[in-house]
Amino acid sequence: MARKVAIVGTGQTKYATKRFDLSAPDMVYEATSKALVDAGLTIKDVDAVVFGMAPESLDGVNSMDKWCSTAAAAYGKPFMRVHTGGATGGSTAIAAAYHVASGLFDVVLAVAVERVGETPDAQRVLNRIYDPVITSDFALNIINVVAMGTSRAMQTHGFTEQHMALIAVKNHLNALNNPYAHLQFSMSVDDVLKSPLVCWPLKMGDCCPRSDGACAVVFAAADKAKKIARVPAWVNGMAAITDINVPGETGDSGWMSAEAVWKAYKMAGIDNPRRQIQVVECYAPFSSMELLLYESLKFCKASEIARLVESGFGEMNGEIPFTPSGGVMCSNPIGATALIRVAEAAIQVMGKGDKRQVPGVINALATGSGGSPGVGSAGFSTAMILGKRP
Amino acid sequence: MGNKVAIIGIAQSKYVENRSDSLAEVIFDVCYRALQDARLNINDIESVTLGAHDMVDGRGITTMLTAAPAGAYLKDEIRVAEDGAFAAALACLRILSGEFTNSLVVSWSKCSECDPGTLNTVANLSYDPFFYRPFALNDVISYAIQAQQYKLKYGITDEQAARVVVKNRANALNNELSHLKSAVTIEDVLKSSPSSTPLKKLDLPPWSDGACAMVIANEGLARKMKKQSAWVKGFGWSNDTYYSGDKELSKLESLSAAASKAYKMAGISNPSKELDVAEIHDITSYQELMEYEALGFCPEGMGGKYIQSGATSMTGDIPVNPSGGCLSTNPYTAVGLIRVAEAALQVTGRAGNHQVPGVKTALAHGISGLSAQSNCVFILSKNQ
Repeated sequence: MARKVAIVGTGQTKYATKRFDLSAPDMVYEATSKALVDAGLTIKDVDAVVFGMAPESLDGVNSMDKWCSTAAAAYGKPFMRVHTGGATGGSTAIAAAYHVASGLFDVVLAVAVERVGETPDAQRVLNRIYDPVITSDFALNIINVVAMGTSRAMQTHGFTEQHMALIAVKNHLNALNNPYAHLQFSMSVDDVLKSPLVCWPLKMGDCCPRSDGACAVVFAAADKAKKIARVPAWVNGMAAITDINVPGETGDSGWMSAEAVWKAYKMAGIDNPRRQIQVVECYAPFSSMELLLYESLKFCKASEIARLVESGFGEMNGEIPFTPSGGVMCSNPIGATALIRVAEAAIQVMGKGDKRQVPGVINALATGSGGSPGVGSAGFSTAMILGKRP
Repeated sequence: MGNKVAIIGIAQSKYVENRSDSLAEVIFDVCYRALQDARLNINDIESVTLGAHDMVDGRGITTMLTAAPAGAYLKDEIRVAEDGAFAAALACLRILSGEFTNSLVVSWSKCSECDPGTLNTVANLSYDPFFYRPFALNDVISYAIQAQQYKLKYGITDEQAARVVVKNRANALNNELSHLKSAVTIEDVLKSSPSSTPLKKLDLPPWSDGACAMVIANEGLARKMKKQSAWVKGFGWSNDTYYSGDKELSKLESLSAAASKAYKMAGISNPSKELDVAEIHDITSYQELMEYEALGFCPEGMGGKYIQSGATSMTGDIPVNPSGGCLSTNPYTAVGLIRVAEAALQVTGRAGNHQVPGVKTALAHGISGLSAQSNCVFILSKNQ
């Protein structure tokens, strides 16, 4: 990029099923203020704001960004809302980084919020993302689409429900170290396997919650970043790639595209991710999505996934910890979720992870996924690679 | 930044009340033609930047179905849920970052998918559930309240506002893509059915179907297109408070802020002298008058006298909305991008029957949000 960009501060709310105590702007205000305090900046230092919010029908307020804009420090400032479904937070971060990289802005806030708790039935809302003429009538939603993809991947990638359960157990254990996490209880493999069936092979223990929450991240230009933060998290690679899957028309409609990650690797000069990346904050609302990323992020071959899971590859003391925060499986305020991945990856690079800190992080990868994996229409994927060195 | 980014290809659909083809077909058509206009192939496109609203398209995530016809397959794509002018702004930032040599920018709306009146409900649901929504506010009412305060504060008359409609509807006769193509008189406007005081039916735009696409490119690509390139000399956008009660409704402060950023970048100190034409988001007749003031075309409170002077007519100092503007064609989310497209056509001398002679510098403006909360301004030039 013409101008180097770094993350210099992050802020998050506590995630919960329903934040009765705070309205949407209240949550945005809390995350924004925390991010500014974290960076040691004031509202006057903010040159522009990019806002993320996914389907408004989840929140019940159209263009809720406008209502939240003042709380996001955007009064009298350039402000725009980004929306790419579940990838929204990732796209928001990327759009904010482009604001800085363009040379027109020095300090730009990325803020995202979702109040999934406002909707009585999130999956019914998510049925409306499918084509109204053909696919919507099949009562598709994210859970049953992921279940279909998972059962197919179990055949092709050779993993079992036990392997999925191991991922769930790991994420729930990690969430205990993250004060912001929504679900904070530990589970055994047996607990996951015996949890109520949602849509085979997904059990309750394999699925994310629906959360209320907000997240904010401060991006700054190189010269400023060095003054603001002791250890800035440098944006060394980023991409937001849209893939299109039409049932019956695409050969391999099995899973979410990882094109964005591959492009970001290239930008960041990463040719051996397993050696060069020390921590991954991935967007995996379901246990099966995380374990499939081992392959698509180029950490291993498909046939090695099962063995890698068994070896504890992604655990906190494993080879490459995946989602030390507990990840999407433990907190999922949809539009903010992918920005939380970016924030958590930045926290790891900046060394601010406290109990969830992975030692010796040089490069961290944050991913985002939106739209629908596999069946029907577009899937949006985002990736950002943050490094200790520019 | 004045020399680095330009619009090199443009396509618009024909705008009508109800297009029988699908939204995907409308979008594909303009993207295909915008690429042809830029003499590029889809494989040459490095990024796609979209402006669309789920709430208008009636989808959960509209781009799940519209990203493909907009050429985004395996492209670096970001969608803003704002007026299309904001998508153009983000596209410029992406190119300025040096990561992309070009971006395909697309915006659309198929308002006919909503039953008549439903769009007012959509707008009402944009208000917060606690304070404003129970008042049954919607976009028309929000603009009416602004118009009323503007009118009372500066003594603007309904007749002066009607002149905006007369001017823009007459201009639309020269634009073959325009939705409404019939001239109206001041009397027609004044006698049209009341909507929300002081706005009457003809002070408001129609609801239209249609889409607009453009290719924005870096200096290298733009130079190859020679005279067809409309150079982005400046752009700026800003956001006002959401709460109508917290702001001076008779002034469009976020538009003033956006314009001053764009003017500063473009080195414009006297807009009424230095601009040759403007395409602005005339969401209501009164709003166009208020915009004249916020853009610095005339002093505060003088919008009414300014239209009366004829300065913004086709033969005036700064013709405003030669295309007929939003009052003639209103595919909701795409309106601002259409303004940018029309301004680009004007500076490159490609505006056909509604071309203003000798245009060197043009202004374009788009609105996002109720009571014009967010505004985006572009300054385009014929010369690099």
